[in-house]
Amino acid sequence: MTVAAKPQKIRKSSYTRDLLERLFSTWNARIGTFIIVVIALACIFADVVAPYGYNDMDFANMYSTPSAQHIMGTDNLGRDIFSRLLYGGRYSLSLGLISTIIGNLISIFLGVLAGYYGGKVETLIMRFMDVYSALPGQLLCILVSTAFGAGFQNTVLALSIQHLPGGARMTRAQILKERSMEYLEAAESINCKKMTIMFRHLFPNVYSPLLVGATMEIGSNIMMAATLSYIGLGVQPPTPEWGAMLAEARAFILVYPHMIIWPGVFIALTVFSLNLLGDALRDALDPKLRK
Amino acid sequence: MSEKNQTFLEVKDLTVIYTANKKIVQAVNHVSFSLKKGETLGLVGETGAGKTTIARSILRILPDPPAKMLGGEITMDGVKISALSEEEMRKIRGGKISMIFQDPMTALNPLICVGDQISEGLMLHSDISRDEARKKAGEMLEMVGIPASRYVEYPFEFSGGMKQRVVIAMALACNPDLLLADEPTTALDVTIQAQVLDLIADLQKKLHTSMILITHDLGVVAQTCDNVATVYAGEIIEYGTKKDLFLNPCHPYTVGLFDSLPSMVGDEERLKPIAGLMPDPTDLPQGCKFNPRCPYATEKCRSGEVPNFEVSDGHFCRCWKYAKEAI
Amino acid sequence: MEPLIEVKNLKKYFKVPAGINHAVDDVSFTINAGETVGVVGESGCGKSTLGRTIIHLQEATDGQVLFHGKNVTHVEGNDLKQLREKMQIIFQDPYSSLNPRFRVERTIYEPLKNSGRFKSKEAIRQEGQRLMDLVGIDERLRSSFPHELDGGRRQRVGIARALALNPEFIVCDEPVSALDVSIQAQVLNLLMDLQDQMGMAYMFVTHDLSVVRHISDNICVMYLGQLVEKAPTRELFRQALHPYTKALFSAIPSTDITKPFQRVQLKSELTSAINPKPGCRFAPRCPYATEACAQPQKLEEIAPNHFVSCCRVKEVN
Repeated sequence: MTVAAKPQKIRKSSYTRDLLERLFSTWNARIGTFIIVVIALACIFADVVAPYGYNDMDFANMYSTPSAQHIMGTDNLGRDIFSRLLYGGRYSLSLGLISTIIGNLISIFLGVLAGYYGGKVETLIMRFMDVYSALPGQLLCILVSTAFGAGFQNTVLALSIQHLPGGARMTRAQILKERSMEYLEAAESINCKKMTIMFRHLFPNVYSPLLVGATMEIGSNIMMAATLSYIGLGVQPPTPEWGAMLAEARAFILVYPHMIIWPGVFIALTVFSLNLLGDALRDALDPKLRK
Repeated sequence: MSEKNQTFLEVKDLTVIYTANKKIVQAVNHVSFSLKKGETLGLVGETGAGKTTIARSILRILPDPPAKMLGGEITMDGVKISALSEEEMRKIRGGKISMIFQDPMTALNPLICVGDQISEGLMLHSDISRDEARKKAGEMLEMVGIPASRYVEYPFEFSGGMKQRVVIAMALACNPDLLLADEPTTALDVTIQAQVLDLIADLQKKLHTSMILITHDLGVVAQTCDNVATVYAGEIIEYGTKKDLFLNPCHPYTVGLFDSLPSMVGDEERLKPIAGLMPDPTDLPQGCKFNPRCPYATEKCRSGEVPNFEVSDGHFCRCWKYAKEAI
Repeated sequence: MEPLIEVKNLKKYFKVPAGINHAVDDVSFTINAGETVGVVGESGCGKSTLGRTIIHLQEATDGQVLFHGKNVTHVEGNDLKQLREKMQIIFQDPYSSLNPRFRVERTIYEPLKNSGRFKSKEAIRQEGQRLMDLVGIDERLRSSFPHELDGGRRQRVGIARALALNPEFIVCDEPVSALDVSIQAQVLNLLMDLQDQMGMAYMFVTHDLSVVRHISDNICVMYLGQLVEKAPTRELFRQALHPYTKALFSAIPSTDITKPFQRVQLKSELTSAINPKPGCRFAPRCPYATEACAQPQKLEEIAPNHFVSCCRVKEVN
């Protein structure tokens, strides 16, 4: 080893840059991000990318298997499956994303309150969550969708409340781990407001595992959205949501399996890539690996 | 068995590096020392000086990677243990050599009762039946001042000092020839520390064990050790008997360590800390590793290795200040 | 002269599964402006809780804390905010006491912002830079994160944060016990220099007797939540009277190898302050304990300003 004198570097370290560097040094993250970005971009620019409109019917080519004209074939009404998948992705992806964000905002808020204050506040919130979680999440979704009727907004509502107890519990557990750190007492002693301590001091130190959870939750919410549509409670036809497409295709599963395979592949790919990304994120956020 | 006054453990030219983020950390640099049967050597130094790494390389429990033993020879009782196979080493670990770790909380398995943790080690290293091992483990507990009736209790039922006693009992159960004690009392309160130090000293006398005691507390060294080595940035910079080091410390770093302690007698207005900080281990200074912090540093100190000078019989110091005495 | 802080019969109890932990039990002492009171004791003796209760990080169970003669035991709202600016704390662990996500600068600016004393961002920045100069944080380290600093430097950041609000009183909760000796000396010198310059009072909580001897004017010795001895530093080191203090002094390994070690060996270990019996809590370990020790003990003035809580103090010494 050479022991040459190093010039004193004044490096302004950046947490985010450091994190991204570590994240994208893994193939998991690269592949996951690549797939999800390609799918998302294709869906966002479906107007440009898709060869047909989502409701354009080609009666000459009903039930056609993949061909040069329709790369993924057409469905029972002669609609191009590829185009429908791209337009449908707009609904599926935004359902997953929006419901995850809303759900997490609520559950994190409750979890931070419960974890930071403890005592009565904690008992109140956590016991409520216990009662809440007595209902299986999927059943709850179905219940909400049935009660409020199908449609995009109600599906978002149904999906976002599904993970509340789990999210709140996980947030609380993370807060409790960090609760005994002295910098919180220090913040209190320099007259920081409670809300500041909770959400500016405490939360940034515990969000990493929650972020990992949320990433994977998007995937599971997309699946649940598809499930709801499949049983007719989610987004309604002719809107081409992926789950709704599965539902429409189920009648033809034995005769024209391509109709059901392609939406399945899209759902699986999206969920898979989100899980890959979540996994990589977990590793990258691991404080033990921090420089 | 070697005779008394014969060298029992010899470490020659030990060099260990760590690789972290493509940078090389020179944890231990050409360290040599020897230890006689029944003697205690104190390794003193600050956090990150490489004391623990020295002990771990003797026991060959360095995590590899990132650690790597580049060179050096460790001979114990005529056996070159640095050349033994992993299989043979496993027999020595916990048998002939054992180690006491700093934190008694993590050294014990919380799910196994303390007696069984001791007897398991016994059965692994000597050819005795379960019943015999249990009996011996009970005796060991008694020896460290814990009633044998507490054999069946679990670690959480013991206080910190008691746990450290259990750890000591575990380490001494197989009558080791060499005990490596890594900050054995740092986690304990002073009154408990006093008990534990006395206990170790008593047992050492009884079992005639050699010991290497790693600590940053000069008071603990004064109380327990025969010889002392000051470790700085992976090097032994001063070595001598306890008298040599405490009454006539030579290396500016050793002197600085003594000076930065608030004294228990006399009055001093201000403490005299050593200027500066420990050097970056990935980027050690040229020449004497201490030169950037040393008040006496000259041009000579800034280049080339500093040889070991013998200040007086058996008292070595790596500092050019003592060059003429050596010649 | 009116003392800066007067602690009167302060109690802090915690409910734990095994009963009630008398962490601080009936402790009284005073701190004058500009002086340092050392609080010594082993882990679990309640010395940290005492400090935190005085500065309102924890609510007192009973007793009083007077600040400038005014009862501030249960202040709230704006009064509490003002009081906190006058009473600050430096923590033991320089690793957990700084928010890992905040740059050094942000940690220092925060109390300044909260105080509302500064009109502009620029004023905050200037004051923050002044503070960092004061405690010796190099310019190039000011936008680093805590994990990029070593223990001594982090502790300097903690000190600057405590100084930011111009306190009159600082609780130093083992500020040097996590540091290496050479760094420890640097930080102790800094603390003493700052006191000379700014004249605040310290309550110095530690288990290290040599440190407390060096920095304190008066010393309180605590054992399981109770004050067992209090005296001016010189007096205490000249003649410790309580059996526990004696044992504590004798247990410190001295670096003076010319004198043989004479230790008062204590039986067994620290019990706990959970549901304690009345009477001397040290009695089970005390070599001099008799039946009289089962009675509640009172702090008595044995020599001028030298208080001891032991019924056998005369016989023992």
